[in-house]
Amino acid sequence: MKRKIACVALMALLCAVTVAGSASAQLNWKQFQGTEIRFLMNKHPFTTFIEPKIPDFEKLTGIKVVFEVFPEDQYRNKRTIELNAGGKLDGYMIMPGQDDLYYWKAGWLQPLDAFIADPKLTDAAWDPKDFFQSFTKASTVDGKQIGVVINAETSLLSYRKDLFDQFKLKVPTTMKELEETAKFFYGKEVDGKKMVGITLRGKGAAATSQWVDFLYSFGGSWTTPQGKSNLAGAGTVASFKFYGDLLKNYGPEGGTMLHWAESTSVFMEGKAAMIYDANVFKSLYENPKESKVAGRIGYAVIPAGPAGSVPHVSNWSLSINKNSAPERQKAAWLFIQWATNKPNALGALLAGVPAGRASAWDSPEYKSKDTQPDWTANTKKSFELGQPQWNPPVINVPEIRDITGQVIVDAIQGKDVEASAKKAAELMDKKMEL
Amino acid sequence: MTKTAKQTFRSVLFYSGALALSVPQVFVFAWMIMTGLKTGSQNISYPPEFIFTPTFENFRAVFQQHNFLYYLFNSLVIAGLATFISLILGLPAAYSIAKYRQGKIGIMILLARMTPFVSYLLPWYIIFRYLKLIDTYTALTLTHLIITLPMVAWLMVAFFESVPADLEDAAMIDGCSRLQSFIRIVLPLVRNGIATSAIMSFIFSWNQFLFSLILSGPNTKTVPVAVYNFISYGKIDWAGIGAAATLIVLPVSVFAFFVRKTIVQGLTMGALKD
Amino acid sequence: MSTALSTISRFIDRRQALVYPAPAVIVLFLIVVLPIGFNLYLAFTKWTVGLGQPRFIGVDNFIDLVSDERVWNGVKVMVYFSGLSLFLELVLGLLIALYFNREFRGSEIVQTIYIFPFAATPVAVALIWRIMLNPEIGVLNYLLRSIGLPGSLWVSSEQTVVLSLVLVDVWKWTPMITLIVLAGLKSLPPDPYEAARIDGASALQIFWHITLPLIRPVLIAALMLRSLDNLKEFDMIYTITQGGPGTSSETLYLYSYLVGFGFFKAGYGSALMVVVFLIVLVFNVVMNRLRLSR
Repeated sequence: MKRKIACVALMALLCAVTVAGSASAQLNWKQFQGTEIRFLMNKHPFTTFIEPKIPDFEKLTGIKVVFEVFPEDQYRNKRTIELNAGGKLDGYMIMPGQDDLYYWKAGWLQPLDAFIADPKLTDAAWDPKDFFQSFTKASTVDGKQIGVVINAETSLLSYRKDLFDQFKLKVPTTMKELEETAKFFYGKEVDGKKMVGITLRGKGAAATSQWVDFLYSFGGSWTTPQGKSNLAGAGTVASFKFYGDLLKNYGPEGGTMLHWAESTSVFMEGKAAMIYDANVFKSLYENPKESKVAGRIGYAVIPAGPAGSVPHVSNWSLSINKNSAPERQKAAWLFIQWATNKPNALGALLAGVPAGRASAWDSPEYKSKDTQPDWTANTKKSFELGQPQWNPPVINVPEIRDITGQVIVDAIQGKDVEASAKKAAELMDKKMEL
Repeated sequence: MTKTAKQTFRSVLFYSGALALSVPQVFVFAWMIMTGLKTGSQNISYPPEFIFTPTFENFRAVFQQHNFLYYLFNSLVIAGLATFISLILGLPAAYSIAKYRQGKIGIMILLARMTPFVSYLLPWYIIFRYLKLIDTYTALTLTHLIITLPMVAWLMVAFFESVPADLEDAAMIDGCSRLQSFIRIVLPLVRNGIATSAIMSFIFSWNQFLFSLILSGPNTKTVPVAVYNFISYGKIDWAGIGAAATLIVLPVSVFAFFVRKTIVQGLTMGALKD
Repeated sequence: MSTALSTISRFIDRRQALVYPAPAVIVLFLIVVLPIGFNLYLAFTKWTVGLGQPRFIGVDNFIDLVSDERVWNGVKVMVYFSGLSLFLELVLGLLIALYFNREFRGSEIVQTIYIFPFAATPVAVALIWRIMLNPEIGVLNYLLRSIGLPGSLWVSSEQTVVLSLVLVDVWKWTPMITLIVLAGLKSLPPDPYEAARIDGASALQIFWHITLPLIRPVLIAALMLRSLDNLKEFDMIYTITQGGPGTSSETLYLYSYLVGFGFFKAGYGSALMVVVFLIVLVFNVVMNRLRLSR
């Protein structure tokens, strides 16, 4: 009997030593126990995914996390006003491509490199190299990483596979083919509905996020190498014209008021043969409760223009407020690290959020559950081809987007695109802040 | 035309008028309720479905997932407080303006209502953040006072003007102080006005969107702001919006219905006397 | 203790004109005048929220806004939207009030149903209208098409967007005007009508020569009350169109919000808000003159 007890005791001791040993090599999750941190979040599928899991984090670390979630329209406002007023805000979601220059200049972004490099703060298993490099680069300003990507977005051409099969059409691979396919479907009666060829965003500034793929594919750019506006450049004007004509001639009524909500509704209702919009909408298109065309969709990369197939890539990141107290910054870092670790990235991907980690996409769990392999393949292809400068390289991004949006609206309405673009270029030169 | 023919013609005219006036209102409200009872894909159907199997899932979701009862509570507290404080501050002020013809103060109150609400936002945000009052009932109530206090004052001035001066004089001869005369004699005379201005205050505060949007937080989110919860990144939940809109609009409309006579009286006094 | 109280109450009594309005004035000063003052100050500065401090630049913002095309567009939209909606609300409000003034069976019920939209939360009903106005899948176009009329682009076309917004505004607020005018009608003296009837005047003559002049003060008062909110209409336009298509429904007020809270240019945005305020002020002063004349 005594021997047995001794044996068990020895085993227990060995276990304890092993655990303790490995614990000292790992980071101490409980080092900021008792801290309370506050995150401002956008109402986004990632937020919906991670919020219920917060208790797990709280148990792991003893840190209390408060989430405040706002709908997109108001989120940016609230976030900027709060950061400026210097309240207790520790971390937030940000689209670096939209706000990084502005927020960097305002001193609201905390560089994360020191945290990532510190083994006391970052677990080796977090593996920063697992993130898609282009997205990490997108979350970097002045050589310093300021955010960790939580969703990786690009845009895809989604089309009605069933109709393409029915009419024996192949997927368009050039812009000309895209136009012809759209023309083919426009006005056709299918299932008692009059179809439109394609639906796209047309609502001014909001449309620039999608139009920008056409900008690059037609060889245009936001600025010239000299740093002046290139809105009136040949490639740019060509992209305005093509985009506007596509929507005007083969798109739904009222093109200039199409935001992603209206555009995706038309597609999901079955009235559009194609839609070009963010890849993240797949979870909407394939949901039978929301979409009438679930299960009948194919996904492709943007057709090639004169300058090739150049979609954009964008992402949301989690960032830390530079003005927050150092202790809370580190606690916030622990949260961000946890929220973007491998298991959670995979979980997010399985929940429909395109993750920023290669391991999630390559995992067997994802591959076995993947019902839309063409979406996966083409999303990854887009990541490779993608152009991260989806916004003008300025500080006052919304203002320039607004100016650009006016040209898109004019193009859709059939007005003189060259004149409109020229006016916009002048305005952009006058207003842009670098 | 014979008398009965003329009468029938008149009736027809009147009843078609009644129809023309009621149909748009009923239709919009019915559509709102139906949107809430449909699924997402039903809501984007074309032709729109008028006959369908309703689902109560959206209404249930509004209460469960979106903490709706709490928003209702917040709206109630803030509107209630704003109305109450407006009465305490506004009744004496309106009385004084009416009695002593203090037009200048009246103008100041009007100025408050004329200013675009957006221009209040940034200064308030900075001030309240500094005073650590963001996401408190205090801050929101104070800001709602911009809407309710001028309304109470504007409506009540007219009512107070209709109180004959001799009544008060008589009371004071009998030994009342001015304060007592105000509370015991004048106020009861204008109780209709008080009721009206309270109701109007409450309704407008309840419906206030912009201030609550910027200055509220999770503890004080009000009902109109809650509607925007259904608009998220990558999805507009029309069915949820329909359900939420129904739940938001119906209580205040029903309330207004029950007190409509009082509202009318008050609006009249405000408009006629000036 | 009681002497202290009685001294206070005597003080209040004697200085009634001072003490009674004081709390309201103080509160209003704090929550109104201070922020407006700050806004006015900002209007003379250049400042992007978060980037540095406000920099005084004199009247540059105001000079800039005179040459800002979008400002003139904003004023134009404001005049178009408010002019049309206020006019329609007044005319329809009067006609409907006249209608309700005639006694007929069931008018109570109709009135009740008719008033419903007035108390409805603007943001909520605006969202419902947004769905209904969708040109592709909205129910309004469906109804039009089913009786053989072509669908309209509603808020998706530059030509019809303001008209559509006016439609929603009229739907929501005419009942309030109707109520005010109706109450006014009910309190008109009966004698002129008696006299007119004895003289054999027609209904139209009675309306034009008796009702209209008598109801004029009420109409103007209703107009003033409504215009305060209408000129600063935000919730509905923001929810349904955000100023689109392009800028064809962007009132100056909406533009000032975009500049101040979208671009975060607090200086220029504040200057724009000052202009909005001035427009509202001028309108009200003019209306007041009209009301007091005659």
